[in-house]
Amino acid sequence: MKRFISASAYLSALLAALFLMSCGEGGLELGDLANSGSSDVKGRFKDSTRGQTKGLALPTVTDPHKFSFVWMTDTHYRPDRQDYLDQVGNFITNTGGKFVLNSGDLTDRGDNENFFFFVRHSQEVLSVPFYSAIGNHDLYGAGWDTFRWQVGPSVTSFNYGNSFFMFIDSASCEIGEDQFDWIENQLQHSNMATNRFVLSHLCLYDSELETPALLCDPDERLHLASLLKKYQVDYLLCGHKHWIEEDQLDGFFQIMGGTPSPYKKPQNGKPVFWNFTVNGSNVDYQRIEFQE
Amino acid sequence: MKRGALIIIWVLGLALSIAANAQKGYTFKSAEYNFLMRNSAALKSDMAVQLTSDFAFHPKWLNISPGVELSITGGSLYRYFLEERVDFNDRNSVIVRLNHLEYQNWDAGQNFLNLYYQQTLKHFGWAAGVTWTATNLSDFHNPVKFDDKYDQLQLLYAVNYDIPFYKNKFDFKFGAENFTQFENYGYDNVGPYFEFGWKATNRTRVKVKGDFRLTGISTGTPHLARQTYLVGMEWKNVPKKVKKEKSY
Repeated sequence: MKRFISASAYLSALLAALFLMSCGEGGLELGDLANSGSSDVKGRFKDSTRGQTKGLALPTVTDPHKFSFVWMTDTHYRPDRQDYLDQVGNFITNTGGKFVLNSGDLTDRGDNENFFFFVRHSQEVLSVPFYSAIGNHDLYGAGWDTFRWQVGPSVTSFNYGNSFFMFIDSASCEIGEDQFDWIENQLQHSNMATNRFVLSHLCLYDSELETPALLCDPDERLHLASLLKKYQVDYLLCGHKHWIEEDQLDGFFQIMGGTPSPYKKPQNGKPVFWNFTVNGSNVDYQRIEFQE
Repeated sequence: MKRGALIIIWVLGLALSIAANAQKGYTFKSAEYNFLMRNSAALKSDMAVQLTSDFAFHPKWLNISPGVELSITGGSLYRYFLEERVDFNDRNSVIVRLNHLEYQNWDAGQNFLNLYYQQTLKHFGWAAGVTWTATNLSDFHNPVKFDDKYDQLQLLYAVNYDIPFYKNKFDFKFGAENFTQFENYGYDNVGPYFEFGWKATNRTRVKVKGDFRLTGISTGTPHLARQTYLVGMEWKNVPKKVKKEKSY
């Protein structure tokens, strides 16, 4: 019995360490667990597909075959910490980018103060729309009820020019049956698009040694990967691990985008954002480090 | 078609192992039959049967186990494996197992090569090792394809504690694991399992198992994501009755 207790203690300590390390620098805080139960993926999906959220205002398409946009992930905005959103604003102004995308963890604490700060701050420094997938940190605090009215739906898709963009909700580390049906339906109807981008907070793959930072259920991972390949998605843009990694997987390209945050930096690099340029069926992207 | 082929392969394997039992140097050691139901977002009330046999070509170095799992609901999920076990003694083993999994509805498959050390003490058992996993979205039927663009290593663990009671006729086992003989789970897919066993005869053990998987640990959104219920029977090729030793 003593051996069992000691083995269990070691295992628990190992799992707890992995768990606390798994959200990158700064890590997940134990208090977050108590604040994360205000919504589940099914409820958020229903709210989003029934229009019970803020709507997305898309910018006017000037050239459907040639445009650029900025992508980031894990911005972790909060009013008491530094951020580089003004540099993104300057970059967009200089390059003529059409919008800014984020793959979740838009805010750090998910409370009203964080969301209201982001909305005010983005209006001050950005001249283009900002769209964000939902991340686990966005569920803490006031969570979903604030995200949906201040930022937008947890699942959505839109066409801009010749490209299709889809945001999926993996914030609770699950996709769920309803959302899988919706994802397949959306991808089926994206057949007119030349390029397809899917944004998810959680990734499907993280290099040679797997860590606890991927979409949780291996069956859901396999199912999502099969859909991305089947419907010829070009890019899966994801985050969560605060790690920069680019992987050509079977049928699609996955980019784990690090973070643009000066206080939750990528574990293997400097704070970054990504500039995507679409030119017909050619998609180029560039990783850009912030000036610290 | 595929299901039929898998059943034929398993039956032939079982027949071979029974036939081999009669020959010198070969022993049919055990067989296991399970019926299970999984319920998760991806596997909605998925029911399956699992068939496993175990035979020894050499008592220490060459113990081979084939196994197959067939879905009886969707009909699109297959799992099978081939295992080699080195038994250093009754308690300590090293196991290498090649597992194949495919979802025909999704045109997707995975192969696992598991290598782990297993120790079974009187009440306590544990295992630890590593798995090499490859996802196949193109050639998903291939059980030995390990594409180096979509492969990963993962650590494996299992712990359990076994409590026998009522003249050792019954036992209650509980533990946690991130893999079974048929499946590999992720790290963020943890949870307890409970198993109740009844030693019906000296050769036969009937078991009922419930496995409850929690996910969302790393995102701070823990929730019960999957339940697995299993009813099974283990059969060991040992003498029907143990002769009583003379007491002096």
